[in-house]
Amino acid sequence: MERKFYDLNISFDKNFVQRAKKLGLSGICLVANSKENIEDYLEKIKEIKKNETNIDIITGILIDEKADKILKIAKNVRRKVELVLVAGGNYEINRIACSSDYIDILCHPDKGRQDPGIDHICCREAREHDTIIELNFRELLTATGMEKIRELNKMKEIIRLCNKTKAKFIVNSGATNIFELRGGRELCSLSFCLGASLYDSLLANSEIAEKLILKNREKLNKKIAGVENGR
Amino acid sequence: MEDRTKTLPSSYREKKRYIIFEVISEQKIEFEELIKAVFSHTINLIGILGVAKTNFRFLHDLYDREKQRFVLRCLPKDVELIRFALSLITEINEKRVCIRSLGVTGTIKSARRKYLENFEY
Repeated sequence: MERKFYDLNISFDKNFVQRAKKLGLSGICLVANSKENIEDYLEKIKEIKKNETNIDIITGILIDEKADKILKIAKNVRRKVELVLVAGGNYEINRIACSSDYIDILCHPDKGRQDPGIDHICCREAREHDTIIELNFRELLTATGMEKIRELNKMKEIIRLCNKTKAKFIVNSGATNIFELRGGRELCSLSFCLGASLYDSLLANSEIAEKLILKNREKLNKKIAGVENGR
Repeated sequence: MEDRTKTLPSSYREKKRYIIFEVISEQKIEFEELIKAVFSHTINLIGILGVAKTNFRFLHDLYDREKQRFVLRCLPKDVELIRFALSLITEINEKRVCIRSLGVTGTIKSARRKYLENFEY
């Protein structure tokens, strides 16, 4: 049986769906920013879902706010979308994202930093609260020269910490245009080259992502006993 | 006496893997441009010594111009490294591209059968 590969951080655009199909991805998360209107976004996703049947389209909100607002927004959007992502880069934000049950994925914790942005404490918290730490492929594509070496070094450090603390990680493309999108095996090869085992790197982009989506969908569809129409 | 070494027995030969790639682009990419980009990106990522150690080889005969598919040869343990190196290519001669791997085979025959010809089981 062939593995199903997922990419859980792609900018919201219709064109990505066709390209993702061509690259052999089984599911993609078209992410909207938390500042956008969520109702409009969900409507657009519904329309795309009507036309596309071969690919799983996942709804997700990327929270790119200050540390004190993150949890509040996450609580609000949790019941509306399947995935809640947080844009990292600041240690405080990274720490909050790792230690919250409302947040699924911490995106690019190393963005704009000299260090990986997470430590053993964050990783341990992430493991306990089932938060997945993301490695962003786009960060690597846009970097040049010495920057690329630094990016690879930071990613290597994140994978080392995740291996050590058994925290989950995932490689997402973070694509903003169709040429930045990559296939599942290409995404896995990044984590494998940086020190993860082949099994872990394949698992990260396939089964872990699939389980997370199924779990969240189940939660969204679950009706609480004694409560009518979600009231 | 012929100035030629004898072919090594199969157990003495190094194992090989053939990776089949496809170029996705808006405009057609010339073969020479592609070779240059592939070599420069792999050398950029893993260095000259690294490339030499992987037994890296571009198989010219197996280039499919229509589908823009090509085959690279390397050692089994370096398959993921080569895949990663090529996934970092975003532009060839100012044309935006995306290179995707279709699969890995152990022989040229199966590479040709599975990915380069219209083969039906």
